[in-house]
Amino acid sequence: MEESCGKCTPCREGVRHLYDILTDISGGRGREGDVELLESMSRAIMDGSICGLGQTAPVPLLSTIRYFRDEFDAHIRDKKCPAGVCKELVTYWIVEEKCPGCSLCLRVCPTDSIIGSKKVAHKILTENCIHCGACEDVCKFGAVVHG
Amino acid sequence: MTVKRLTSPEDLAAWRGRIGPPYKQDRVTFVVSNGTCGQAAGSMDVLYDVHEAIEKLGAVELADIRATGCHGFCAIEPLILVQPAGVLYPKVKSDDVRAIVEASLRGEVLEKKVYKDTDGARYARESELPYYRKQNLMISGPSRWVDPLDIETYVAGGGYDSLVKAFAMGGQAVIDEAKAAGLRGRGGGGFLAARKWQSVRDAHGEPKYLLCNADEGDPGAYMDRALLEGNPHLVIEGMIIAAHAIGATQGYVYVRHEYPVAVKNLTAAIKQAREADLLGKNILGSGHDFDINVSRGGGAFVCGESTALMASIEGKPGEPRPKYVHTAESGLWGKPSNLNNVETFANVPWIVANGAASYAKIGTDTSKGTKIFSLVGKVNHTGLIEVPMGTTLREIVEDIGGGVPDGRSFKAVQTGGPSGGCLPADRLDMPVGFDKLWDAGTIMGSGGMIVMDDHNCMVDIAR
Amino acid sequence: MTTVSVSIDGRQLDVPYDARVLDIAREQGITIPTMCEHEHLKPYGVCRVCLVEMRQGRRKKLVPACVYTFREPVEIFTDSEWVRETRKWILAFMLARSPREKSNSGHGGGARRGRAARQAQGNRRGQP
Repeated sequence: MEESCGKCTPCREGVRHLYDILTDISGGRGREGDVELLESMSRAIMDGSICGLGQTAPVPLLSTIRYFRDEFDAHIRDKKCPAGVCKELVTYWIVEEKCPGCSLCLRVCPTDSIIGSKKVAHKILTENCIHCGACEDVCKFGAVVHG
Repeated sequence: MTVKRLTSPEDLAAWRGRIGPPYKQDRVTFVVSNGTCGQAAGSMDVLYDVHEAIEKLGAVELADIRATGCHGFCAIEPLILVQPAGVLYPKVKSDDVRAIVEASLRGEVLEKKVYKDTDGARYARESELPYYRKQNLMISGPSRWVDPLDIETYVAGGGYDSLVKAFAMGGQAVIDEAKAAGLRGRGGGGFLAARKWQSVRDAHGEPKYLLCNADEGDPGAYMDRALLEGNPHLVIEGMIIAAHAIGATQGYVYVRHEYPVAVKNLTAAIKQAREADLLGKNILGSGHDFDINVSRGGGAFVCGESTALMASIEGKPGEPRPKYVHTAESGLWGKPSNLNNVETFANVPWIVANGAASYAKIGTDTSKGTKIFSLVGKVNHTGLIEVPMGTTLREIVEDIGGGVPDGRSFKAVQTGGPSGGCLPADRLDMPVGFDKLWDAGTIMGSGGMIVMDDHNCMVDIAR
Repeated sequence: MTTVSVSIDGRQLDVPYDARVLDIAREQGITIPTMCEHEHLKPYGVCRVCLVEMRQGRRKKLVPACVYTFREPVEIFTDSEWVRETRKWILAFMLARSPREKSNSGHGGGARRGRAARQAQGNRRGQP
């Protein structure tokens, strides 16, 4: 997206719109019809751009829609990211049986969203969680999981 | 190194006779892959260590050291290839160098340091590696023995012979040969090179320009860099042949600014070629003039687009212009101009040397020859691979790439770099080629190939 | 003077070699919307508002009427479905940047701009 030279309208403006809509979808703000919107815009960008950059810029998007439509639907309808990549769509929780209560995660949590005391399994308060993943990175027991 | 001025094809042959074979048979040659990727992995230290080990062992008379460009198998850098035995030592550590050198000088193989595949099997000879088994290194192969800073290593392997042959054939015959071979541009568009050449040859206006696009902009694709760094004379020879075919007298190589090693090696190679009269006036006594300048890129992805590239060489902002007047008629400075990319030029000497018929035998109906891909992402063996067109994605990802690491499962492969599309697992048996990929909704592009596993989110990738 | 046999919107014409599509269309009273085109400037071909459909045998593509010139016998369609759909998107992309488009400023809106583009497109429907 940053590579457009800015000379012609569809590449300069259109690709920005594609990016904005995709950001919304991966942030759980996608709506029904967004995929069709993306497809229609992509065609105009490919047909209307001067050079190969604009003419191929939507290719990755169109191919992922073609082969991985279900993942788009999962993001838009179920507000889920099946691969667990889109931070805003994943939830983190602690598997009680695996958590010895070492309190390491409790200390690294930037929003103090983990409660519990030493030697007692901890718990993540999902409403305050910002999905940063710091607790999962720091856990030595594999007790923090996301999905 | 003394290069004699070559005034005839016989001079070239005589020079090759004096140089001898690429490796001296009575000496051990330690080849170290020393491209940008190799240097990043520590090949400069390895070179130094090999040098030191040879001196300490008092074997200066028995051994040679050669620093080459990238060998392709990036995952095992830094490496030492012992020639003429062909034994490969991957991921060499400083402490192991002495033992490797000692064993090699005795003519032995240091078994415990040779390549171990993901399944645990060991392979001592480079040629036995599963990574190379399905490849056809007809274009990138010589990079494994050519020292880019020494023209003699290129000449020793038959270098500049194609040029002699091309001069004897005549320009139109070269175009006809490229046409019969079905050579398509490797830069991404896939246009028939011969058709472009023909229109520039037929265009009115002097002088004509020949441009080489080395503004490889795709992140993750670096075959052009590897070719320029590792075997600049191959590109230069290809350019001289193409220039002869279209009647160009001046060439430019547009190298992106981020490739300092490529610029250095190419500049050195051009200098050596000039000293040998392979560039300049009256090349090899043929009466043809051609010279090459190196132009450093403006640093934008879009500068790889032909009209933007020409504007950039002229010193204007690198923006494309609508090209309804073809650059073949009015390109650089309004003169007939022909632009091909590095890999396309690198194919030319092979076609001239071996003939269109042998070239056309490799590949598929509409895509001939080989293609160099850069295989990266979630795959065990990352690196540059050269495969015949028509090789399936499965062979590339599983056989050559060694599959997806960490027990994860394959999800998609994105071909053609960031502007390319993603193909799912059920398309893995598709043979690669310009048209096949296009039909499947993606592009050949410049040959980037990014493998993704089940931990990649496709919506995020598209973004 | 060499001429080329072409057609614009079904009208068969012999036009001078290298004549601009836009000029010929104007002579014929066919309106092609333009934006970056101006009589005192050299044609630049970047706003893409003047895109028209060019057909030659089975080959067809959109070309800007302000820089595309007749050099071969081609058919031009200035108001085909393809032209209209693409042109609407291009206008929509521009309108989404206009000062009155509130969703344009600040962040957090994300795709609102994209939707604004679609809205703008809807508003323009029927007005080429």
